[in-house]
Formats: sequence, structure tokens, C-alpha cells
Amino acid sequence: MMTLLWLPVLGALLLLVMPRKLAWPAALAVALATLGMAAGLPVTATERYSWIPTIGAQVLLVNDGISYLLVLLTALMTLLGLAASPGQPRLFYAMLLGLSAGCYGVFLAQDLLVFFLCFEAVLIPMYFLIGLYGAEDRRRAAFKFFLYTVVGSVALLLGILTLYFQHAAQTGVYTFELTPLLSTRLPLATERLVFWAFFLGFAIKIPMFPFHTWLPDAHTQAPTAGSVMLAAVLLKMGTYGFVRFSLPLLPQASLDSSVLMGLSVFAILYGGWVCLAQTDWKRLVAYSSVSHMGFCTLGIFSLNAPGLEGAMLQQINHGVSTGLLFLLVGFAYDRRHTRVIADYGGLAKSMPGFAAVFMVALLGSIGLPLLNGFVGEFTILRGAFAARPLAAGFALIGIILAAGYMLSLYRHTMLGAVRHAENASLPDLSPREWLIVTPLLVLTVAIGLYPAPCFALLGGPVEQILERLHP
Amino acid sequence: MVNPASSFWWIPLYPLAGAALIAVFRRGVSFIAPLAVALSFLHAATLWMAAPRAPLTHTLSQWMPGLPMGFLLDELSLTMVLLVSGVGLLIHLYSLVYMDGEEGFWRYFACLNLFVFFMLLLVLADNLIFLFAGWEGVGLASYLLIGFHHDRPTVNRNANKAFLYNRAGDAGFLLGTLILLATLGTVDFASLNAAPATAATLAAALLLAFAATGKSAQLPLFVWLPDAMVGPTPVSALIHAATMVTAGIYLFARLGPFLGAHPEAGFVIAVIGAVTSLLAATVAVVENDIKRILAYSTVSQLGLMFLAAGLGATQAAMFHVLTHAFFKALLFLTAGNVIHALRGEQDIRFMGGLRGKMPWTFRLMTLAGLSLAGFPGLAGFFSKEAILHAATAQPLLLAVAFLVSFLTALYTSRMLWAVFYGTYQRDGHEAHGLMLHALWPLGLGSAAAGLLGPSQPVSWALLLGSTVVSLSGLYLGRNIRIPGLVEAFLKRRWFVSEAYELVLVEGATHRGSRLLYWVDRNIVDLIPRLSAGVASVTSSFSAMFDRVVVDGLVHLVALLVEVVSFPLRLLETGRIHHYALFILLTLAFSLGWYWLA
Repeated sequence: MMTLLWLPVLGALLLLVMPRKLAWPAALAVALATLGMAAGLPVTATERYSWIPTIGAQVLLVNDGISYLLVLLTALMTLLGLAASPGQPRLFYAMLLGLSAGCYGVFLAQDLLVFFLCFEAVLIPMYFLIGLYGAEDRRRAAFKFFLYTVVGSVALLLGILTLYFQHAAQTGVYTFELTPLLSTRLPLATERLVFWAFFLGFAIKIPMFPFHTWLPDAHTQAPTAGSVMLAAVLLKMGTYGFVRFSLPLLPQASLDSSVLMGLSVFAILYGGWVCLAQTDWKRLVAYSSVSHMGFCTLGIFSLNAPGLEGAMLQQINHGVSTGLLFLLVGFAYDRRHTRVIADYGGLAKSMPGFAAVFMVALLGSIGLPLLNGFVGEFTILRGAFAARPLAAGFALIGIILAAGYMLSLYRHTMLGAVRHAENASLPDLSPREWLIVTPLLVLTVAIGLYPAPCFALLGGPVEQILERLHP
Repeated sequence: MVNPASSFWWIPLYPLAGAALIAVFRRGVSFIAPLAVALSFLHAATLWMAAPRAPLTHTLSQWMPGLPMGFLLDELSLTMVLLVSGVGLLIHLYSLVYMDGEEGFWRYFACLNLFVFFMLLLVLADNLIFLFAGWEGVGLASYLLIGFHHDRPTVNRNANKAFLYNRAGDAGFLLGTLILLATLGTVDFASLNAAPATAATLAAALLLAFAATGKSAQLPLFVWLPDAMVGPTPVSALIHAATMVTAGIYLFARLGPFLGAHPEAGFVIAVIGAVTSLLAATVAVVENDIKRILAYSTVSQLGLMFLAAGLGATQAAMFHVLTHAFFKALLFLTAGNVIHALRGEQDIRFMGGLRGKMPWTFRLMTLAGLSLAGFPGLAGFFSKEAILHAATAQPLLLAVAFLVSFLTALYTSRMLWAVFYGTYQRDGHEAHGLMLHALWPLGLGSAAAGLLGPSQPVSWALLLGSTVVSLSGLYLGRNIRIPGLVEAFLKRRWFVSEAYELVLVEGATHRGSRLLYWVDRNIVDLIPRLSAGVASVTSSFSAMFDRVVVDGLVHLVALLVEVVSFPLRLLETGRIHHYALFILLTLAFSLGWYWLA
């Protein structure tokens, strides 16, 4: 697993000294090799390296079903993001590879210090991807993104340190490792405090209402590959953090989750409703992420098996569907250089292949049965209903809203007569673009029809977490 | 040779394969599409001939934890499969001519095959959630086909409307399923039909009824169906008359014993059906668009089926589903012939005198219309009689059903007279080829499908009553005059659509979402802005502290050193003779000191 972290970093460094022309193929090769390596990871594995023994810091990488799916998603989206960005400077590719390395660290580390460092390290390449290669208002968006997430990180760090020192005070052992820290006995008030500190860190990342306003700005300004990575992978760091660390480390405080379920349902409805007012294609998809991630957090805070399994599966589904949606917006942007929905219209005439792919992505995203989104959402709703029936009932309004804003987007971009002459002669998807969307289309259908392998991967780890919550 | 019985679950897969092949290769469309549906029909027909027929089940795989992809073929689903694939096949054949030369010919047939796949999935599923896959799927296919001519005005809006009203119903479906899953732990039909009634299952039954009002276009969600008529006419015939819209009644029939355990829910369904049926029939009397007349008629007939199903007579309801599929599909397709002949004209005020020009279309449409109107001896007469029979226990509902039967005969007669009699206005010509020949089986069904009905005691009073109602309605429909005020009111369709438009579209969607977006940008975004403000104020304080105190200390040290060093610095002149002088003076001083000491 260590090589998974090093390979992209080494690749990134190598890229910087390569001839410019070779950079894109080389970056693709590195990403492809990483994907192969990620796919070949054993599903349960532990690797331990000592690092700074005096403070009890070590590099502990553990793979399980939850991590495995996220690592695969990261590797795939990195490859596709790179493939969608030909002709960029070497630094761009290096940043993207570095970003993926940080994500692997986040999803594999079970040592809180390493987790935190990777959680932070991901910020830097993302900041530059937005700030250097973004759209017109990139500086402000990048700065907002950076500041917002740094605030969350500080809270997270304080929480981690509290756990670390409390554990040391009780046992005399200084360690950041997850498993020993589980035995720390915290007074409930302290536990709550740490929980909310973690909450701030993770909720900003997801983002949960009301900490979401950085997301639309970051997404609209980010380049395509940046948006894809941000939506498909980076947001999952928050939900992953909740499941991997908040719930098992702070079970007593987590049990008190009605507020968070409420916030999640609110985010579902709020995000969906705000989507209806959007005039910017990327901003609409960004707000839809707020709504969809609301489903993920709703599942997590249901604190039962269907809720957690559904949430973990749904974050993969969201990565696939929203990643695909952002790729498609990127393809449209490459052709027309505008994100304004009103500048499109009637693309189904000139780009039927594009319109068909967009339809599948949309249907997966709004949760049509037999496609990926439904399986995740319905499982989450089962969990939520078992925990709080009312929450599930309100969340269901979200699926009506989702159909509303997505079909409206489709209608105003793809359907109708061609209103702008430029749109009449746009070329349809190129072979390269078809290659990029195909894996995601296959996943959309495959997960929707046969999610059993995913559930099999998630079952074990979820059971362990639940054992902590309801011993 | 594959055993047709054990491979019965392939029935929906043929059209799925057809849709996939067409979408990928876009070739051989006019061959693949009908063939795929024909295979489904033949497969089902083989099973129908085989005697004795025992229910067949097959579990394909585990879909979600505890929720299998399970198929079930019994008498009920076999009837529906034959109906869907049979009528579907005829409409595929009809469409070959009707859609000939249209841009997107392949897309039309891919969607139509996809629809048949989802519809067959719906009727073959053995549990509620797998049925839902077909349930939403037919909604999708309906959306895609309503929006087929997506470059025409209002088409896309109406397609979205259809999908969204269906989705509202679907949300109710999911909630009902969640309740049943939580309370019973399973949603397969056998367990549901054996489950005892509780408050929770009653809530679930009501929610499923709500879901059915979406798919089957009843109050409160019926408004999408008339607007769905912007789709191609064969689509209206297949999806919006014969099959998809009957999914709600199929659901009630499938859950018959379950609904029977909840008579309260059944009563609500019956009342919804009665009210919708009456409302739609009154609107159909004043409509002028031929397809919209038929659409309101469909809503009205579905209402009657709801009425019967709600009162527990699911057999009568399914009987009417069957006969209605024949005569309403035939009505739509003959209307399609008329529209085709008149190059898109749909307003019956601009039709007339087509009897001579389109003799066979005239005969078939009249046959279908009479069947719809309950003319004695035709299929519709018997199935309507079965519904009336079911309603005898509820005098008020029976009265509504009679009134609706009268109005049905009235608007049917009005439409037929307007289209085929009177003055000849536009050039028309008889349909040819498959557009005519695909209609014969439907004509046969409209006339004789009454033989397929369940046996029941004959009530001569009801038979006589419905005959009188039907004939008087048909007679009065020829020269009907509606008072202007009533007409104006009915033309606005009881303001249901307008009310929704105002609240949902204008209120919630446009204004509400814009308001909320404003809140998001200006109030929720205050969190980072305020904290950025606080941060910048505190940071300027700390910068000041840095300058004044921290830097001040450093400067103070520097100043002290400066002050202390000042006298010393005066000595450091850099001139040799000064240094020589200092050395000399120091030497003298120390020697003098030594001496004095």
C-alpha cells in the first residue's frame, strides 16, 4: 500500500523534469499503473512503518472494504480526470497526481496523525488546481476553499490532540493509532466536544449545510479535472472520516445523532431546491452534490447497518454519477467555453451521443431503479426509516426535487430547438471522450443491477463499527 | 430446446435486447423492434396454451440485501403479459408506417421496446420493490416518448410534467414500501397478502394508493395525462391508454387480499376513482382536441376501475383493464389515422364528413366508440356492467358510475358525429397497410372481449339501466349544447391544473427556489464572510500587537544597545594616531595608578 502513496508522488516529481510533450502520456501511464495496483490490493491488509517513535507516530496503512472501494474510486477518477485534460502544463498533472496520493493516504491511514497530514496535504494541490488553472474568478474561489477547509482542519487537529493526550494520561502510552485509542475513556462532555470538533472538520469537507457555500464557488471555478476530483473523491473524505473515526472513537457522542439527521434531511431538500434556481451548469451540479451528500450523511447518522452500508455505497455512486456529470460539463465547456445554461439548448440534435450519455448519467444521479443511485439511496432510506421514519419521509421529497432540477437542466441544455447558431455544428463525443465516459457508464449500470459485491465488501467493516456503537 | 416454463423470466428480456441492439446499431429497426415484442408474446402464448397452468417463480439474483430480483407468473400476470405484448406488438406494427420517415425513427423504437421491457418487468415482479423498477421504468419510457418531438413547443415541458407527477407518486410508493419493510420485514406479494392489518400497513396501503394515482392519472395527480398527448399518437395508444396507466389497477389486483384487509384504504380508492371519473368525464364533454377527449376519457375509465378495485372487485377492474385496452387503443389508433390523414389536425371542430373518405377507419372507430360507450353486446358493455355490479353496495358510488356511463356515451357520440358526419371540411384519405391491418385484432377485441370476463350473477336491472343510459347518451351526444358558463368552467378543467401550476411551478419552483438561492448567497454565506471579517479584524489587531509590542521590545533592546554603545562608538574613529594616543594615555594611566597605589 505504501507504493500506492509513493508512486503518484514520484511520478509527479518526474513529470516536472520531463519534456512537456511527454507529460500527459506519462501522467496517464502513472495513473493507469496506480489504478492497476489499487485494484490488486488485498481487501484486508495492514502495513506498519515506524516514523517518529518518540511521539508515538507511525505510518499505519490498513485496507478494508470501505477503504478499498474509495481507493479504487480515487484511482479511476484520477485516470479519467487526467484523460479529460490534454495539453495542460506539467505542473497541472503533477498536482493531480499528488492530489490522488493524498487521497490514498486519507483512505488508508489508520494512524490519526498520518490521516490528518494527508487530509491537509490534499488541500495544497487542490488550491493550486483551482487557483492557477481555474476560470475567471479562480483566486477568490481557491482562497475561500482553502480558508474554509483549514478552519475545519484546525478543529479536527484539536480533537485529535485531545484524544492523544487523554489516552496518554490514562495509559501512559503516546499513540495516534486508531485501535488503542478506541479504549480511551472520555467523560461524556469531553467526548461531545471532540465529536463536534471532528464534526466541524468533516462537515465542512462533505459539505453539510450550513458549511457548503464554498462548494459552488470552488466547483464553478475549478478546471474539469479539479471538479471531478473534488466531487468524486474529496467530498468523500468527510463522510469517510465520520465513519472511520467519529463513530468508533466517540460512540457515546455519536449516538446522539438526531440533530445531524435533521441537518442531513435539510441539506437534501435545501440543496435540491436551490438547484432549481441555478443558471450555471456547474453550479447546479455543485448544489446537487450538497443534496446527494445529504443522503450519505443521513445514512451514516441512522447508525444502523442499512444506513451505513447504503451511505458507503452511495458515496461511490455519487462519485461515479457526479464525476460523469462534471466530465460532461467539461466536454461541453471545451466546445462552447460557457457554463451558462441558457447558452446551450438543442444539443441533442448536434451531439446525440453526448445527449444519450448525459441522460444515463442523469438517471443514475436521480436514482432510477436498476441504475446505481437507486440502490444506494433506497438502502439509506431503509436505514433512516428504521432510525427515524419522519426523516426518511422528508428525504423522499428530495428525490422529486432531484428529478425536477435534473430534467429541467436536461431540457434547457439538450432538448428543444437549437437557439444559438454555434450549437448547431458542435462535434459529438470524440473517441477519447467515449473512452473516458465508458467505464463510468458501465459502473452506473453494473452497480445498479448487481450491487451484491459492494455490499459484501462493506458488510464486515460496517458490522465492526456498529459493534462499537451498540455493544 | 429450452423449456418455456422455466425460462418464463426471459419474457421481458427480448424487448430489452431489442432496445439495446437498436440503440447501438441503429439498423434493421423495423425488423428488430416488432420481432422482440413478438417473441415475448409468443413465449407468453406458449405458456398460456400449456395446461395445466401453475404459478411459476424464478429468483434471478439478490438485488439489495434481503430484496431479490424475483419473477412470478400466475394467471394475473400472464393476462397482463399477453395484453402488454399483444397490444404492444400491434402498436409496433402500426408505428412502422405511422412513424415512417421521421427523424429519430430508431430512437422511437428503442424507447418503445424499452417501454415494453419495463412494463413486462412490472407485471412479472414478485415483490414490491422489484415491481418498482418497472414502475419507474415505464415512467421513464413514457417521458422519453412524450418528448419524442423535442423541438416542438410545450413538448418538453409536458414530458417533464408527466415525469414529475409520476415521481411524486413514486415517492409515495417508496415510503409505503419502507413502512412495509420496517413492519413486516419483507415486501414479496405472497407475504403482503397474508399479513394482518395494522395501522402501519394501513398507512402503507394509502401510500400505495397515492402512488397509483400518479401512474394511473387519478386525483390528485391526474393532470399530467392530458398534457402527455403531445407524444406521438401510437405512444398515447400504448402507454397512455392501454398499458402503463393501468399499472395502478394491476397493483391493486396484485395486492387484492392485502387491500381487502384494509377496507378503509379501499374506500378511499373507490371515492378517488368516482370523483376523478366524474370530473374527467365532464371535461371530455367540452374538449375539442380529439386526443385530449380520449385522454380525459381514459382518466375517467381508469376512475371506474379504481372504483371497482377499491370496493374489492379487482376481477371486475382487471376485466375493464382488458376491454379498455382494446377499445381505447383502437380509438387512439383510428384517431391517429384521422390526424395523419388531416396532416396533424387534432381539433374536431375542423373535422367532419370523413365517413366516406375513410370508411374502414370510420367503422373501426365507431365500433371502438360504441364499446367504450357500453353499447349492449360489445366488450365495454360487459366490463362496465361488472363494475356497476361491484358498486351496488354503495348507492352513491353506483349513481356516480351511472352518471359517468351516461357522460361517456355522450362525449363519444359527440366526437364520432363531429369527425365522420356533418360537412366535409378537409381533404382526407383512408389509411393503408399496417396502419389499417394492425387494427383488426383490436376491433375483434373491442367487440368480443366480453367473453373473457369473469362469470357473475346477472342483474337484469343493472343491464337494463346501463343499456338505457348508454343509448340515451349516444342519442343526445349528436346535438349537444352546453351552457356557456358551464362550458367555460369545464374548459378550465375545474382549475386543478392551474392551481398546481400556481403553487408548484410558479410558487415553489420559480419564486421559492430563487428566494432560497438568494438566502444561500447572502445569509448562509455570511458564515465564511463573517468569520473572514472577524479573522481580518483580529488579525489586524494581532498585526498591531506585533508591530507595537513584539517589535517594540526588539526595538527597545536595540535602542538600549545603541544608547549604551554610543560613548564607545565615539572612541572608534579609525585613525592610527588616535589609537596611538589612547594606547599612550592608557599606559600612562595604568603606570600612574600603579605608582600611586
